[in-house]
Amino acid sequence: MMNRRDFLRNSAAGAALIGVGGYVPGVTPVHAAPMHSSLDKAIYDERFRDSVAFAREAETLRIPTHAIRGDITDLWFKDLDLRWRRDRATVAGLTTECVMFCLEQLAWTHHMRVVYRAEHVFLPSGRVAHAFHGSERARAQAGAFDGNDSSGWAPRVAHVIASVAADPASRRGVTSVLPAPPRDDQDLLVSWVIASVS
Amino acid sequence: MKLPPGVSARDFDTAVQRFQSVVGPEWVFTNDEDVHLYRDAYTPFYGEEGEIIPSGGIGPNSVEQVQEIVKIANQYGIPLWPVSTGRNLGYGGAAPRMSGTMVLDMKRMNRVLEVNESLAYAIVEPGVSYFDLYRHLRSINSRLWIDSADPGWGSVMGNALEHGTGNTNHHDHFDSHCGMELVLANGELMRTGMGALPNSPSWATFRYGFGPYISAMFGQANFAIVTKMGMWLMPEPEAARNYLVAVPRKADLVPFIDTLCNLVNRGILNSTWQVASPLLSSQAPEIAELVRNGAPVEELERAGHAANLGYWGTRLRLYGPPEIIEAEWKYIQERLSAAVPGAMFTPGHSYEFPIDPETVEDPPDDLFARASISIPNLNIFSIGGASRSQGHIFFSPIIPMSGRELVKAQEVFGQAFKDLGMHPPNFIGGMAFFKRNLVVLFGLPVSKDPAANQKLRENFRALVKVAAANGWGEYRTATAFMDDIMNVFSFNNHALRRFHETIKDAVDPNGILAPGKSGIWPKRFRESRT
Repeated sequence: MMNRRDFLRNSAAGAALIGVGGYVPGVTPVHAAPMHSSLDKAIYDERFRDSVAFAREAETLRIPTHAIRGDITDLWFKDLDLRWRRDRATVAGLTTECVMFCLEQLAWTHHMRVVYRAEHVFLPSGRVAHAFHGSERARAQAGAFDGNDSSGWAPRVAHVIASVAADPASRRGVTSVLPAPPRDDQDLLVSWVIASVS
Repeated sequence: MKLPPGVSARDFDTAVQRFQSVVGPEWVFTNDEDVHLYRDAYTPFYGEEGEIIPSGGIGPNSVEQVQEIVKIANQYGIPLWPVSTGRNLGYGGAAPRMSGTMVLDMKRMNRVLEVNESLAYAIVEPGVSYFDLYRHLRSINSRLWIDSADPGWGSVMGNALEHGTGNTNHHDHFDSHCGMELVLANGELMRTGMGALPNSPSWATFRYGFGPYISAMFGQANFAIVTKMGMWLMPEPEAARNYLVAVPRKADLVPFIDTLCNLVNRGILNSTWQVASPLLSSQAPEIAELVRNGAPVEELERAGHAANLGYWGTRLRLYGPPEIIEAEWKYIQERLSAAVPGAMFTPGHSYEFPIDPETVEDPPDDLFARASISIPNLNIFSIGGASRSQGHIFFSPIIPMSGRELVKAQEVFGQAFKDLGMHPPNFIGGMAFFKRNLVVLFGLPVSKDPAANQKLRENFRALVKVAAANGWGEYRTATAFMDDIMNVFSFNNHALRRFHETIKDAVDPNGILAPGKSGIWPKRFRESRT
């Protein structure tokens, strides 16, 4: 029976991709080669400026983007439902939690899973707190997200998810990074990658 | 992952290997990451000992595979929890009632087996979602409508079996079913109604067959696994129109509801509707402040009058030829105006068919617009913006469709919320999901805080008792509370539950089918009942 460990061992996805135009925490890759995208598309929600900023950066990485306004009906019915029957294209996004939840549920039938997720919580102080759920590699990326940074974090998310999508080893394990989880009444966006696990 | 109670690790492993030989190794799931998705996404036991954890999942793609799985499950005592698409959110999702149960996930059984245009029905497998059936009907240029639940990712069959509802004239989904094929607990195949007569063309047209009307006992039950079901579909109407109706005073609720009930009973109002309060849910700052401060009713009514907001209101949806809709609407206005002086009527949206679905959006004031004209969607998940999404469980007591009964429910539940320290809603309305009845629906938020969830569970159970004390039972509930609900149906020393158990022990002697579903426990697990 195939499990995720088997998938990672057998995956042809190249870890070397991380080194090509990869995102280095704290350094903007000005002259790095365009990243080869393993992503079919990056989803963003036009209602949230950070999500839009994420998408604009994703586009500079040559990742196709897809805009929604909270409702994924068309994305699902006209695109992913049909696409995922043919091949298990990796998608990612910076969206509301509900959107990720919906796509996670819908992806399951196609042997696809949320292989990486992060929460970006808007604190009353104006800061944004980030909680990464992922491997050591993902946590290394998390070091770039300074808690004092209330702007500019969203474009960095595009680099993180591009790296994760390209590097299966980044997806291994689920480990929470930050301490106390945010309160129920705080707004947040989530970044995520949905990929095939078989 | 948790082992099924009473099953050794060795027997479980052997059973898993046997399951793999039936469906293929890639469709048997026992690792934690895969089993995680069969947990209730809206569980009120998050992270606690009481959270239900399945032993795994199996994904068959045919009836024959289901039969083989059931035989293996019988041999090793593996309890199975059949799900269609497993998206029963708010009512337990795909999670079983008992930890260690294996989820029998029939999403892959997603064929539309037949569509009969003139007799207006379809026969579907469990995994056919509203999206799937909608896509299929469009692909064959059918002029038949689905009646989609919200959201549209649910199973046509599964939602009906759970007594779910939608929006159009076929909104009572179980009432729209006709004919079933089932795998029994011994692996045998059975068909109900006219389906039990080989080659009958009436399987999906005549509901009763001959003798006892058996199909009804498989809704919200665990007596067999439904693998095919007929569903009556609504022929596309010429038009659909909706109208907003509002009444100005709090005291208008009784004649308002009673008149609407009469219109339902006369066959004038055939789609679903719900009564809410435009006034008490207004976001206008001055009105919201009055509501927050508990202003007297008279002051609220004056504010409503000034803002042209009714104290109570509803949206009525009519379908058919335009001239018939207009006649019905004229009659509705006459009846309501006579019953409630000052009733206000506002035309809503109007659609003529056929229509290009690309041109239809949900307007801001009608989240169910697309679903009401047979276009499934996921828009309901866009509510709430970027706020943390923890989910909810539904408390859904049934009351008769009576104005006085709704007033009583408002008083009873309003007081109960206060007594329990719960944040009371601004108003308590009613939903006309079923003829002659209203569902007084509350969505109670769950969280990932164990203390908050414990309080939620205590409050939920208290509300169940409050409802029962007034003769109101729930029509549907989350797995966590199925025993609590069944417990209040206690007439004659729980004769109904004992009858269920008698049937259960007869048809499923090894107790492998959905133990605990709707409070029905097989003999070997009966001590698990709470």
